[in-house]
Amino acid sequence: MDKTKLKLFVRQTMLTAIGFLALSLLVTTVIYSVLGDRPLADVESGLLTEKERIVRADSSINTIFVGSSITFRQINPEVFDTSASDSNKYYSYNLGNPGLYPMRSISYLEHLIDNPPPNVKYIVSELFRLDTVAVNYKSPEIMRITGFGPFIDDLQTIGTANFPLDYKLYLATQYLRALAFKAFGFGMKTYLQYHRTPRARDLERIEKSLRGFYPKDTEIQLTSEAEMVQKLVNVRLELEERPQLLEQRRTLHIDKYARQWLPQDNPFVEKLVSLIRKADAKGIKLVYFLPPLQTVRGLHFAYPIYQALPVESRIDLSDPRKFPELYQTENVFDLEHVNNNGAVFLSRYLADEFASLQDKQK
Amino acid sequence: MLFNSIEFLLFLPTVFGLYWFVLSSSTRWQNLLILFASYVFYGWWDWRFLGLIALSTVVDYGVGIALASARHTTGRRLLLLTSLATNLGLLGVFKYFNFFVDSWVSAWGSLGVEMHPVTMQIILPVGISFYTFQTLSYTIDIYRKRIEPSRDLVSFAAFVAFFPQLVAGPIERASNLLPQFLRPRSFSYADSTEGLRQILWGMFKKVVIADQLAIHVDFIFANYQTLPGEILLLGTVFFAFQIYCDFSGYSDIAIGTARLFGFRLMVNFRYPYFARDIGEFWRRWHISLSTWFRDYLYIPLGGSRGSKLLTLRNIVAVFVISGLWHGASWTFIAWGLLHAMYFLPFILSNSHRSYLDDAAGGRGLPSLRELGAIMLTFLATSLAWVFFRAPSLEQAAGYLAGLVQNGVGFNAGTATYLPSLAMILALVCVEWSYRTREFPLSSPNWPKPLRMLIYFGLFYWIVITSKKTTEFIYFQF
Repeated sequence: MDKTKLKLFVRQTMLTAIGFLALSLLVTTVIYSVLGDRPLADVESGLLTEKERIVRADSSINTIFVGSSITFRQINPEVFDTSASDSNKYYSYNLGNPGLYPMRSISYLEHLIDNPPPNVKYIVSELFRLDTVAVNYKSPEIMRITGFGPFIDDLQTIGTANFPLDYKLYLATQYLRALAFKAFGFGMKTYLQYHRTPRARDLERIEKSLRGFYPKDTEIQLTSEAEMVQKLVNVRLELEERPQLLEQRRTLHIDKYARQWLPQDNPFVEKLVSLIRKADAKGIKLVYFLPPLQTVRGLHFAYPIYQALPVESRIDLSDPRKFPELYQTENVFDLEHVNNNGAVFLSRYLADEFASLQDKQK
Repeated sequence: MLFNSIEFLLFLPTVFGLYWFVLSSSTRWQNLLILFASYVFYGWWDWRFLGLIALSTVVDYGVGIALASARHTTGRRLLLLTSLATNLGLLGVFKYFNFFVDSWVSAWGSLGVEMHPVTMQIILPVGISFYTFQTLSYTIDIYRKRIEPSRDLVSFAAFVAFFPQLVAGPIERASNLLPQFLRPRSFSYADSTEGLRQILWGMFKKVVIADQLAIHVDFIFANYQTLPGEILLLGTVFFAFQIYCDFSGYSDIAIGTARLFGFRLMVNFRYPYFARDIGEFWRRWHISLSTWFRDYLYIPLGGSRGSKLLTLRNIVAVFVISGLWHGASWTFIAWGLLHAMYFLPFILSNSHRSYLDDAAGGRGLPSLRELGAIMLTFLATSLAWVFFRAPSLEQAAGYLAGLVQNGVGFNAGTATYLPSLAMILALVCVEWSYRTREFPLSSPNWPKPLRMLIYFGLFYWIVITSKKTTEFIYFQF
């Protein structure tokens, strides 16, 4: 067979595809630079924006907790307030939102610090694992924080993280995919038109939560969604079937103190530190805490970051020797979250450590 | 694997490269590659169901060869029955078992007899209705001595599982597709560029139009009780175009993809919404299925050759079975019955073949009479689609009642549908202008810069509209 025509076809098809992609990149860049980024309230999760609305409307709230499900499911504001002070000094609210992974979390913290709710004086935020962009890269909240500058910062952060090379490559690919998705204009129409409103599930969660705190075992009992019950039961199965995993996690969290970690000097740490200063300038105390029960990857990312933060702005709640209840079966829901019982311990410990930090600074 | 997925974007060039650059000297190896690629394509969804395709393939391959050598009528009938029992048996178990059991229990329940039947948790294998019908046509045609059996198992298996049309058609006839597997194929530059254009057009219809309309359709059908009548009317129009763009879009991508490998598949849609009566609609909508039913069910039943009563029976049977083919639900049967009712007056008055040419001939605009006929046919088919889309007969009836009873309530919310309506009007204008071509981008005679601008416009529109990968509606059938 004469392959001249075939080669011509392949060459022309490839050139056309490359030309179209280049043109898409150009047109998309122009559109985004003309229209700018979407306001956070339009694209962030309905649960989070609705919770924020509550916080802004209630001037008695002076302390807020920011983070993913680690915060949402584990910090009980009532226990925190009563444990941290006997003089009603704190009145807190849990702004935790499932899936608020670190890059989204710092973007949200920045938004809060730039436009602080009226009487908020304290913000407590978690240090969490770095991988959830993988499944969420087409969502409007991820598209909002994706860009070339942040991508370079993320690459540097991934590059210096305490991960094996293959995992670093995996993460870099995920972030690159998110960048490519946005840069070429994929999903741009939906993103630009998007206006998030809280779903029925969000509203129910807020209604049934205790000032934004909603442990998984409570949700199983109170939710109106059979599907959610099944989902929560399924995530618990791993622990029920292999209880030894909890012991492994406990050991992991003890062993981390003896291990040498690569020091973290990267844009992510710089951002966390700059947020502490920015908050300070507005009269807000920002503190980061290291939660218990993190996965191997989570721990390998979050613990070295924790070490790089100023001592007066960090709390470690992950030490099984100091906080043994947080690793006991009766206080744990699944391999990453404590249950309602465990949340009482965790919130009390957080309050103690937080109060101790305050005392040291007096 | 879905056509509108990243996986397919990598899969297609890989198979294309191997097919033309590495294996072009051997038709057998090319067929083997197509067979392997098709099984990967299907197995990407669920590899466990590959066994069903393999079973259907092996049985029909064997039956075909045995039929060719069988001399006695009884033996030939038994062989045909084997093929029918295997393919319809697969369909019966995987698609209709629970439906028939539930309907049986409901029927007895209405007479006061309580039954506790055994039902099974069955997953419907994607595309089973398509490939079983395709292989059935093969054995029936051999039985009728219209074609010779294939003695090349690889080619036959590749014909059954050919990935561009495996999961949602067109349902090919062995007489058209199988010979293409047996003869050497050479690369055609013109055919391949035409194939790419057809893929682009199909993708545009699916991603930009069908998926966009789906958002409105889902909302309107979920809230039909509270929405005003004009929105429900819009909902029927939107669904009519959603299903058209979704399914004809898939067919375009399938036909275009097959072209890249040197195959010509049959045309499956010929601008059905420009039909002037229901007979013409069925000659333009899902042509591969409607001709299948005509050739393998309607004509064997006697067609319109017997008494009026027999003709009536045959028409009703064909449409009801066609409805049932689409899904194991009473809503599909109702949809089929409604179309039978539309069709009967035309066939009984022998006027069902009044329109065999394109609407308005070569003229730019239709006559008022033609326009009226087109609008009336569209309205009738759109109302029938309500049964196709609604999850139950009660909801379909409620929706149709709401069209009249919910009143008119134009408000600011109505305006949100205008962009989609404008998009449909634009599509209609484009399709009308190019209705004599297989698809609007076919063999364009525009200057190259304009052509490239149009292609880029469509490409970029697909890109910015794309969201999560969505399945094609016809996968469920």
